[in-house]
Amino acid sequence: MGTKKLSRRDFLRLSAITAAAAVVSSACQPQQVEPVAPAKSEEVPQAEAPAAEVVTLEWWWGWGGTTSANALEELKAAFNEQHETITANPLVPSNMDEKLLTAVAGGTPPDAAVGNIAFSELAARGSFTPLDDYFTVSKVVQKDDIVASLWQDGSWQGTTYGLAACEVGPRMGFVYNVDLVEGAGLDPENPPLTWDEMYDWHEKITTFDDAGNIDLLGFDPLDAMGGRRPTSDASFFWADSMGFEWWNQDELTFNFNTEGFIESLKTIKRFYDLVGVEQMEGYRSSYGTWTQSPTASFPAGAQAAILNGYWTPGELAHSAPDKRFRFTWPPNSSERKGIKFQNVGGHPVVIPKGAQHPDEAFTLLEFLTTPPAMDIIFNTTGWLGPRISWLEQLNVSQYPGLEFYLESAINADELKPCPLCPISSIVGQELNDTWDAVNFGDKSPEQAAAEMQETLTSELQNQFPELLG
Amino acid sequence: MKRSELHRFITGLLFISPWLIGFLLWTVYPVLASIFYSFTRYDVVRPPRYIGLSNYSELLFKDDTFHIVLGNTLYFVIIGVPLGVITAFLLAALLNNRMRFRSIYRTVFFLPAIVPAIAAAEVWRWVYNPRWGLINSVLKSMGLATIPWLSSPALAKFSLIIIQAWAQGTAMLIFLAALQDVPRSLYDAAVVDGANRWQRFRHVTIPMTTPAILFVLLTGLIGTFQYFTLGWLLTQGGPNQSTEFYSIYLYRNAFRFFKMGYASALAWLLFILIVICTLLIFRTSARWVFYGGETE
Repeated sequence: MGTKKLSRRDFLRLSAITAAAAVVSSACQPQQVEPVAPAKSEEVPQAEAPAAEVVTLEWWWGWGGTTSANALEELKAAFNEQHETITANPLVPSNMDEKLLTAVAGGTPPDAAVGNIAFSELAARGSFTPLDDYFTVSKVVQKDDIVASLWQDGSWQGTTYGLAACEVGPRMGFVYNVDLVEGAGLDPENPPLTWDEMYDWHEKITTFDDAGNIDLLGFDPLDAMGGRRPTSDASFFWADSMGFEWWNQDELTFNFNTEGFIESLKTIKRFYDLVGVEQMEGYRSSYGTWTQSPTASFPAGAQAAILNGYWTPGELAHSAPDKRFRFTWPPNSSERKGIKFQNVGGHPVVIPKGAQHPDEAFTLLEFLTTPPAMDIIFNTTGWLGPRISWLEQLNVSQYPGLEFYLESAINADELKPCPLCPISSIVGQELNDTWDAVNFGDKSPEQAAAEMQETLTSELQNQFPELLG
Repeated sequence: MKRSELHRFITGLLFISPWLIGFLLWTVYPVLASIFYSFTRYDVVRPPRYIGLSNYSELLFKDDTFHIVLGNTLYFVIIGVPLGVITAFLLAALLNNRMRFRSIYRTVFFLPAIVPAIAAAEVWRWVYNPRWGLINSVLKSMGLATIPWLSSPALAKFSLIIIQAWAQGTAMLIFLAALQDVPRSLYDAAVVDGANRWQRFRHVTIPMTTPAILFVLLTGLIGTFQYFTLGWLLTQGGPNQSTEFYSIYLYRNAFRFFKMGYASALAWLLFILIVICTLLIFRTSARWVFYGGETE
């Protein structure tokens, strides 16, 4: 009798079935339980203490750059040292808005997030955990010791969804390079108070080479805060300067088809027309914007003036330590000459809905508002925190110019709120498109303002009919 | 079906089951879901709301930005695709000659096709930089005005097309293979008939490589309609919406504006557009594509 041999075909068939079964069974396995670290104790107990479960918090941090990275590392170390049963595991995702949206939608959000996120848009869509009950019982966060406007900035329709921490402070300021102003024969002790006076500076400071390329730029009205879209952490500069309310929070209406907005479009275009819109765009893309990088136009000394917030002194201390700067109130329209306006905002720390460890995430939020955390952030980045008592004792001499911003929040004639608009991303894109259309001469300011008003009103109606009734 | 045939069929299915499961989960399901979402108002985090054909009617008849976007994309396709095909073909024709260091040239011309998009974007950002870029530095040193490659609405699209033409290495290799497949006997016969170099190129080389030209044209068309990465990295749709391409607009609606339903409608319109263009090319291909071995 012959022995039955396994044929090649049978062997292959059996292998395929085994492999498929292995794949299916591994996909059906229950999740592995994380090993529990034993609780630390100073004394050896007689009876063994039950092992405390260590919770790992996934925490998204929205800022890149060297100083921010240093701040994050120190914050992580300080938090983890203080909390034996919680380990913060920060991540710095690029394109945080898109990733947070898909993470919340997919049911795998981080436990906590802070940065340039679409706060009001996500809050209006129920993507965050309400925090009022947490704050009611919190022994760490005293409501009266937090800058008052930040409570409103972190809420939607009366419910608190976040509290600004890590980067909080006055957003509006006019900063100029003293040497470049003096070099143009202007008086740095008399900064412009109106846009006409600012245009005069821009005209005198801006120079061109023989071929017509920009050599030195006086002012880019759309650099930094001038070109920043309004978000839940900062108001709209041009609305504040021109004195119009672009968004009515109570009635949920837009007001872009107004004289103030049209005037702002004409003002910006005027600055662009002096140098040429393509030249201005090219100049900006060559150097870069804002004040954190040494090669951006303002820190590099290629641009004489900028509109920027309280972080500017700290950033310039690192990016342009050898230059002299002055910090003062931004210009206004002629009718509002001399009016001092300011906006205090910050980036809310949020706990997305579906977070695995919301209680521990709130502990992290509390930690970020404590003096040790605020000290770390201030010393590494120059950014401020939300506590009034901490701000009052802060030594700002480390960053010359910072005292102007801190005092401006008290001395301002107008303290502007941060807007909470549930379609602020669309507002931002429409603003960019409108500025381009007007600056490149495709549309008149009046036409652009009217179209923008119509578009945004229609979008809000489409996306939130239940809010408008 | 006989038992043994059924047996073999199931065995075959088991072998391809990993791919099949992936295809169903990550291709078929999202495609079917996007059809559904295109008829809804859907912001990803709240349940979708059925609105019928509103997304499509708004796109076609009310959305001015869509018309700009469509115009930009068609410009890019109509100019960029033929330019890419011609560039790749001419490079392949050059490399098809016997020369020293031919393999080195082939590698150099192919390299741009495998450079990661982000690296390519940074290189070209420097090349096009208005102040210190490779081209503008030379112009400035000669006392000339610089060229606003990416900051001028009139030039930005064409600047991106140049980058696209630079990265035609893969198409070049396909053409090179096709050129080397042209029978020598045809060239010899043409020489005997008195054809000069240009006539041989026009009446032998091009007709014999038309199948490869058709393939490169179609794949280039399909890919260029979906152009995204370099446009997003270099210009983000600007200046003045001049490089706001279809895929960029789709991405913005889906992930920035919380309009996934609208983005799904955009995706399906793009699919229909690509299908129409592809069918048109197939229809006309009978007139100009010559398959070797055909008889009249």
